Amino acid sequence: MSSQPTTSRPIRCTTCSQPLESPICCTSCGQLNADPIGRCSYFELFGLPVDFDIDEQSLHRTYLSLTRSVHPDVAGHASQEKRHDALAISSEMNRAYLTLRDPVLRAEYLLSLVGEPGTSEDRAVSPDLLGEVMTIREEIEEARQAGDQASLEDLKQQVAAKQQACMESIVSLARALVEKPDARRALRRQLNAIKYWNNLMDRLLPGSDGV
Amino acid sequence: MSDNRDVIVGIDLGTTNSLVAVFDEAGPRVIRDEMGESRVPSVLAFSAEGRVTIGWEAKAHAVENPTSTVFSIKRLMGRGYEELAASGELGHLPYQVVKRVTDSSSRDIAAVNVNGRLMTPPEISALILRELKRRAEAHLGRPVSRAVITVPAYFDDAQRQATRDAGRIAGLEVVRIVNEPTAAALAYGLGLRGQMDRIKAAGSMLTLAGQCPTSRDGADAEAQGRCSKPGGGESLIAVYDLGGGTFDISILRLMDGVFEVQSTHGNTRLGGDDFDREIIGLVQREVGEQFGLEINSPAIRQALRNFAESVKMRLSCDETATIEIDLGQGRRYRRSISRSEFEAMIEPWIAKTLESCRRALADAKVKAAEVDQVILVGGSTRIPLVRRRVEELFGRRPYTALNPDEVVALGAAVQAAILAGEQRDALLLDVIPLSLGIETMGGAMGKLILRNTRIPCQATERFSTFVDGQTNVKINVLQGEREMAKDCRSLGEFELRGIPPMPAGLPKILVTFLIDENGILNVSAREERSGTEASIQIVPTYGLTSDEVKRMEMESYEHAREDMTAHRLIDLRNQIEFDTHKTEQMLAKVGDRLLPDERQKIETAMAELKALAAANGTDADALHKALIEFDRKTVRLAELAITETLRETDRTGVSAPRH
Repeated sequence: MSSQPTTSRPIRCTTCSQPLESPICCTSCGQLNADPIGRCSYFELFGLPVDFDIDEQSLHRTYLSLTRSVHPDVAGHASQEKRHDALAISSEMNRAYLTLRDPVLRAEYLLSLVGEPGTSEDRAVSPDLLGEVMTIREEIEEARQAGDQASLEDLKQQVAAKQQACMESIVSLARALVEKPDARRALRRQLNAIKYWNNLMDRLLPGSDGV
Repeated sequence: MSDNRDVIVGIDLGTTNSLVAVFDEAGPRVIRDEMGESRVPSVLAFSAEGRVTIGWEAKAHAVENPTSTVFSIKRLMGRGYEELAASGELGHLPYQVVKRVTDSSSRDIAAVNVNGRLMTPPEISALILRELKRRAEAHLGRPVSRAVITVPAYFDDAQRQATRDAGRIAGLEVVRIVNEPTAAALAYGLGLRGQMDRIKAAGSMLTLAGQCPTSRDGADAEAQGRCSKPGGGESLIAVYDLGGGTFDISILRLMDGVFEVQSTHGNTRLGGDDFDREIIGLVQREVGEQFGLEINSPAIRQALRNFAESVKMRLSCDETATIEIDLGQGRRYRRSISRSEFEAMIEPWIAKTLESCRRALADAKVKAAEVDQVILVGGSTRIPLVRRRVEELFGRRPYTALNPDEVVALGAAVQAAILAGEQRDALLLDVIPLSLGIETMGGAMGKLILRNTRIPCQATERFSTFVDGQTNVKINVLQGEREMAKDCRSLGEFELRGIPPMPAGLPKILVTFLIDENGILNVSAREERSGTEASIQIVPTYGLTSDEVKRMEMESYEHAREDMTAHRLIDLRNQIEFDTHKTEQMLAKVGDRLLPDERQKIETAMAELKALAAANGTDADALHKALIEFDRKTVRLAELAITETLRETDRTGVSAPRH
């Protein structure tokens, strides 16, 4: 990917000379480095290649191992300054982890890395979507008011199918992002669309008061 | 534990009871009194002279001093008078809650009127904390100045701030606010590992059953047998925490000593208190219907509360409990309540907790059947209906081997050990329970950090000015899930100051909202064009300003110094004289209703207490303990006497349920 930000990260820790898993901390000696925050990509924080396909289990393992070094509970006692760094680094690490863990957020993030606008700047969706969502939304309200559990269950299946189809499209577009620049607009639309389906699903889940 | 470093205690500041625990070589341990009791009732009795008694003693005298006995103060923490009044909460309290006068119309601070002195909920909670601090110091033989304090996971920022303020007023540095269900999971997880280490050490191949902490009663045998997933792997834990005033559900993933909270949900106004209120409501309604009497004076409400609680507890073991009220003039209200009747009354509350559980599971993106272990926390989880419903939802028997009253305090002590660097292999990763945002144009809630986001976390937002030369910008910070700002809770007005004067819209003010490891919000701001740090003036909507907290801490410190003088001994002797005299009067009046050996026990205890007071010793703590013990022994006598007093004064008596 040509436009991805690059950082020259040291291969070894400047303090203990051990190989680094991540540019922002050394899991061997606990040295923290807040400088790369905002300059290096979430993928790099976890020592991963910039790619939609990631091994979620290995991401989780790396996250836990790094968190053991950067969490303020572990790193925050030494000094006020180190606590400040620990807070900044671990909130960045949390954000990076939560972004990469979730396929939708991961695809959003990849889009932003190639310089595409975010959902707040480009809300475009396919022309039929809004009508379709509106119809289902009304059906949910009607079924809820009538206390019609069978219809609600049926609607839930419908929404789940739409959600899944949209998700599959997101995955294939996100994988093709590097080779096909024209996939970007399509991905933007699908990522906008999944929000509608997720919101509808949210209304159908327990504990939702429909607000 | 290194002696040169100050010990950090773990405190469970509960709605009904509070506990303090420490971590030593043997692991976490709650601090008990000589009677083996770990709980300190979160009840305070204020005398007209300004003396405060806390705990069992205060609870025993609640009926006599209904308006100057404060309980369930946790339900008021971080909440405003207006919202409390609107929620109907205040109607249930015998003591008086008023709106505190403040410097700003946007603030809404509730205070309790204690014999004419207005005390905020953090000041009252500070007195409980001070008592726990004293207890820990007496036990450890050295000063205690740092604590981990637990709060319900669903507490919002204002409620967390209020808890931290209470600690500060009590002279404690609150090194961490930790969520109660998370603390419980920590205690549970550690117990599990401790047990496993012992198994490994023994070199034996045991079945899975052997990997759970030792059960306290036989009923848990089955739950133990099903305790799944041997250590080392990953396990999914649900903590169902139903206390006196609050409910929480948390879903956690435990892997290699790291506790990752996946999601949390709850209700900070749902607990055992509400079940008591169902019983109280029933009695008040029926007495009204049958006799046309309204029984609602503070004293009666307090008395009803006491025995509603005991009816509730009885129904956890027995199938029926009897309520009997002597209304004077030969009128007698009597009825028995069956367990199923009680269950029908509380079923809607339990249903609400189950809705929260489903929501938390959905947020964690897991199914109920995937949960490996369900842990019950809080006294209200002793109710059989609660256990049944939780078991149905998760399809497995909840794990009950840990004492639901003590597990949170134990977890707080574990977290204290982690922070002190004494417990290196465990780590807690928690989440923010409610979304955080700001009021945007048109009164909408603009979410910046979504609920169940792992903490610490931060979000940034750009602001600008509307008017040429504008140097201040006000931001209304909100917490909640609703779409409109007015439906969310305002945490306060944050005013950015010191913006360099520029044409409207030109300044670029970058505001950073950081949720720290305590789940507490920190805000900072910078004007990007000029690079100047903007200062932030925070006017908390429901909380205290840092100056107010400082002043309260000073006042409280002076109080504490007074306590240290000989006044305490004099007060204690006076109190002993008063209490024994009163007990003699009560014995003369209603002593014949006691069983002979009950009466004998009280008389012996009274003689011993008098002898101790007469001995003119200087050990105030010993005297204090003896007095508490004596008061506890006379609870039943006091109940009988109150019935009699109420009958005489109100012509409406309330008797304790029959044993």
